[in-house]
Amino acid sequence: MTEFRLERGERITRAVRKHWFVLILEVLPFVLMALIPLVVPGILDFISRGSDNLSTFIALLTLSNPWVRLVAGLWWLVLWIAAFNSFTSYYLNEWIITTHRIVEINQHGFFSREVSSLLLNRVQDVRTDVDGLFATLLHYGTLTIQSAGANNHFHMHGIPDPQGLRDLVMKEITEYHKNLNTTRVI
Amino acid sequence: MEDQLPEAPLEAISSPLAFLPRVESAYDLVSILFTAVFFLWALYTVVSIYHWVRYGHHSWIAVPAIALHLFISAVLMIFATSGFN
Repeated sequence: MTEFRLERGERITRAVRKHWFVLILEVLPFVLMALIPLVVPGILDFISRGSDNLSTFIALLTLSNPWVRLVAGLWWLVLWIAAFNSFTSYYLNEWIITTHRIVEINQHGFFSREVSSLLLNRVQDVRTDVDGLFATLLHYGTLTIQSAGANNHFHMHGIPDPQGLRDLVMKEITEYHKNLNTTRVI
Repeated sequence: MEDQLPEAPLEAISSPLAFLPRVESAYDLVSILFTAVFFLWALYTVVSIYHWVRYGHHSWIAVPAIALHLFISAVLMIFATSGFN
């Protein structure tokens, strides 16, 4: 890991990203917008029935017209860049559970990356939230970890199997305190 | 009273946008537009690759993702300009 250095005896137990369906939901608007150059000529053709002048113009709106190809190609290029940007953001955002802490890596945008750690002995509460039809069916949701510090919350939005991750965090906390030979005070 | 017409030949008024490249034809317009788009795309791609290499290089998906981005972009750019050969 170049983002953070593992301490002696510390190991990574799990690294999680958002659920794949969350990525699809983010990319879906770009896919729908990509259909516009294919759908709009048909809609205009339907509207302009009876108007010869407009029909002549709409007949030019095919991909065999170089200007239409240019506009459509550039439109799809812009949408592709936006979709790829969503995927990059999806992939570079990550949560890592180690035997000592929880690390949140947040890529806000290009040249804006935040890496924050929460020690397991600072965790006060771990809460899961599965809300919605797709989240329930596909088993993804939000995991909220509250620490002893003021206003210090970790929110893991759209992660797969939040209950399993909550159990893992609780198990790691127990192990951590067992290794320290201390009791956890809540 | 007779109108005083200038005897010297009239000079064309130079446009304040004269520094911009002159557009002689539609193909020139396409060239300028495409150059601008390509410049922006190249800038985005360099920044994106930098982030993938710096933060995602441990993953097997980094190289395929970059390759896919370059491939899809190339296909779309060729498609966009293919009518102006």
